[in-house]
Amino acid sequence: MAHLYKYNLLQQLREKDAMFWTLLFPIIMGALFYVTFGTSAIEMMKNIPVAAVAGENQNFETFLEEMDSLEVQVMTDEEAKTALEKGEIKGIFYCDQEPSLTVAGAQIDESILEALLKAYTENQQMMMEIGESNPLGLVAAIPAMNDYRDMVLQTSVGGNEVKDSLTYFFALIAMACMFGSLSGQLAASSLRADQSALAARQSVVPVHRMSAVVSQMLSCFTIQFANICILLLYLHFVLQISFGERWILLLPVCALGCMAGVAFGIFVGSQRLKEGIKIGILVGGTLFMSFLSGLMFGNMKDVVEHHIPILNRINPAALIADAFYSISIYENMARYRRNLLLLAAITAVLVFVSYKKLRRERYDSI
Amino acid sequence: MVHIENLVKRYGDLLALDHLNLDIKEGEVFGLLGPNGSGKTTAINCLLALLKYDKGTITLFGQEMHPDSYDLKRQIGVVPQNVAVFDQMTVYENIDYFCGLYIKDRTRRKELTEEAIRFAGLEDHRKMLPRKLSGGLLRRLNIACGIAHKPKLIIMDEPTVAVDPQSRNRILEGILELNRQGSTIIYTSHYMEEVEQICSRIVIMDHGRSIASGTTEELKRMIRTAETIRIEGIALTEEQLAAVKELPHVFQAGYEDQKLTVKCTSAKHNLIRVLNYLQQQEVSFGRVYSELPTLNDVFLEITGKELRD
Repeated sequence: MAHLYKYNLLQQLREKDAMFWTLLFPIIMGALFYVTFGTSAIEMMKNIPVAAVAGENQNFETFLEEMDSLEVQVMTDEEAKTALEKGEIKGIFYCDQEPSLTVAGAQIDESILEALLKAYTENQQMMMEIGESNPLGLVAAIPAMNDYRDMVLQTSVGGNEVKDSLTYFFALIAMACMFGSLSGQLAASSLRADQSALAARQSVVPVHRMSAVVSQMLSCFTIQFANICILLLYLHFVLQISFGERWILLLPVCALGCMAGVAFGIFVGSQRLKEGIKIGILVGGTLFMSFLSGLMFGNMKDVVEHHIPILNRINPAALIADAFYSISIYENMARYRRNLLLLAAITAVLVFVSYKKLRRERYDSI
Repeated sequence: MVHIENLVKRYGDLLALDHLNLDIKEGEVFGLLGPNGSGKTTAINCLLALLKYDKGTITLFGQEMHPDSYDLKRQIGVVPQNVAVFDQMTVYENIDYFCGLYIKDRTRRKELTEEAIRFAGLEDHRKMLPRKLSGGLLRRLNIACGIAHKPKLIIMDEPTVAVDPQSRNRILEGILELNRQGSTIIYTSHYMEEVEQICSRIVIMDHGRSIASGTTEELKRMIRTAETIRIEGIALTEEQLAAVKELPHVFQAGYEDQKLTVKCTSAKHNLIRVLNYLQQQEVSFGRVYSELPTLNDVFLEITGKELRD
């Protein structure tokens, strides 16, 4: 197995076409996105410094302090205004019965703060109405407060350019993961005796088919995951894109995303199709999945979610992008975990079906 | 060692193998000779459990061959008709890779890889990628990958196609050396000279059938032609040609483009008799050749067509 793994790795490392799509192409795309969006994407994950001027609405003050995306400093009105004038903070929240916001500009951060306040106010109103009209309903509404907080957060980032920029990069990483399908395809084709003379030769060696499939998959995964790590480092250090404090959670997504990409390639590679058709399916399929996950149109994933939500559950690129999104936006890990589970399930199904196709078998013709 | 009985393989309406029977004994260099499309490669692919077949049984080393017969496969080396090596890996890496699929011990594997490189004469090319090799060297690499692990049975499917004469001779000598070292060889080719040169027993195939089998001498004795006389630069009348046909032991004579071809059965002085007749008739002629029968003659006489068609 180690022998197979070593040589598969060597062979795939020298496969220039696959390396272009899995490594260079996403890097080039990343640079293009960076040029297109400027620094908006860089800023998006940084906490926004704000001042909270204490008032009678203690709940609102607590809410602000619990927001991960805000860097809240409690100040007096005077101090806050001075800080705002100096540009040390982006806005002042007044924690009165009816919370209000003062901002000095109309940039992206200010838009986020406005959206945040609006969402809070709307939801506070909703809770009050429930309390007045149906006090028992509050029992049911309170557990939903976590979701309510998520919704506030989502809304705060959702209705502006920042989210769009972010989703483009998320979709880009998802696309890069899915391009692992190209090396997966090559690996699977090399195990079908009816695909090439080399594959036929590989089929008469005394290596168990499962060992061959697993070693191929592992080597593809190794290279793909390394490529994705290089891409992340490039995005972070060269393009200065911050993935936030919970960046470590990106790695399991990338790992499962790479597995899903390789599995997709192995699935297509295990079919009896011409090489060109397989590559067409993989490149076209990957780009289409990436499109649905927001690569070309930032809100596409939301559009799909609204109209055909099942697509977002079975599209690995959308699951990867959504997992990134949920790390950045939600404190609650449920959506993140759901995405990982779905990715793992899709990978398992693809590998199982592929193995069935690639098992030792005789062919009608070679 | 290898037993194939009543093997039938169809590709749709095309009957590729028609009740083929083969029996290959240990230590043989067994030749499978036939024109392109005669079913040689199909037979090999069935033997290796790559192809489904409609009927028949195949046993290797006394066991039935299946796609997952790993113990059997460990004893076999295959040199496919088309070069099948990794373009991204060097000569050394390719041989080491294939050898390592059979040999687990790293030291032993290294020794065998080096030995295969020497055997194929690739010492100066070990770090080269296949695309940098000439056609002949590439073929030698293809062979080295199939034999490095020193298998008991080596199957070579037309290993010398498109190879220069120098490489071809080296390959043929190498095959005989492998046989001396104890490997049984199955060698398919449509080059009769090669088969004649190295094979201890031959089966001639046509249309998926075995049409003749035996040693080279046995095959040649099966046919009437014992000697073919060719005379160039000759002018003959129809009467004279007819007279040549009537000479003792001549069973066929043809005249075209000032060339006379006379086929004779086994007898002494066939050439002298023909030349005496031409002298009597005062017919002048140029070069004269007397040839012993070849496997092509065997094939021609049995099937009515040239082996190289």
